[in-house]
Amino acid sequence: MILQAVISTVKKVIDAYPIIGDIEAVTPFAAIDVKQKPFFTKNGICGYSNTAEIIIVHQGLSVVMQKSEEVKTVVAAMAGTIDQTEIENVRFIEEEQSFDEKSQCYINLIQYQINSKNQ
Amino acid sequence: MGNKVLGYNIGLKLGTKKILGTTQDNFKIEGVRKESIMKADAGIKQYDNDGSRASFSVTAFVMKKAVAEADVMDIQDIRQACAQNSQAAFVYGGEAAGDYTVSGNAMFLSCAETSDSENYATVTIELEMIGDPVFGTVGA
Repeated sequence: MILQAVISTVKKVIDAYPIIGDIEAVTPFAAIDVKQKPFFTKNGICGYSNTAEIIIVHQGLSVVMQKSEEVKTVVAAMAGTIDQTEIENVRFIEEEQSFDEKSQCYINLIQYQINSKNQ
Repeated sequence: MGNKVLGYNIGLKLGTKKILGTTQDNFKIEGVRKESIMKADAGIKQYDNDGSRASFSVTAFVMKKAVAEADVMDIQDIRQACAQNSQAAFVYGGEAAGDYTVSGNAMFLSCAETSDSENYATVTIELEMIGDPVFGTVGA
């Protein structure tokens, strides 16, 4: 599955978790969500377009940005088969920084489009 | 009450091949009208049918076929067919028993490709029917 592929890739540089409910983790960490949409042809599905959102969280902005660069490097290099998902190409979409008052943490939201042959 | 037909159950086959990566087929058929007027028509124009014309517009992903895929046309096959105005027997419609079909001969007219910086490239292929159509039913 593509979510596992992204998580295992990001885990090379930072602790990573899927976004399912509240996450209690030691900062810095990454929370990951992937939305998947198939490419339909008349002969069936010929691949998947996956929009991956990777959120980097820490109390310090400089740490967030440093970890973001490391994450961007490993995600951009995703290729071949990772956790049984065959990656076709990876495209950076955008990133956006913010500060969460409740947790007193800086957040960097990085978005990618990852096209894959299978789920 | 009749049944609606799902779009993916209608396809176009050219010879023995389908166009690889097809996402949409547009088919238009129309009668050719011949206008006439005689004095006896008292100023009212008369119309007769003088055959028909039909055309296809197929939208597909730009794809390269695998070596084993002999029953499909990929982008290079399509480019060549359009450049040479190749002709092929076509069957348009469903493949299940009882499905309606239209068949005949078609000529490749053109293909127009779109490739941007973010998405997979697509191609639109235009074909025109040559001669008369045959209306049939699969298995009939």
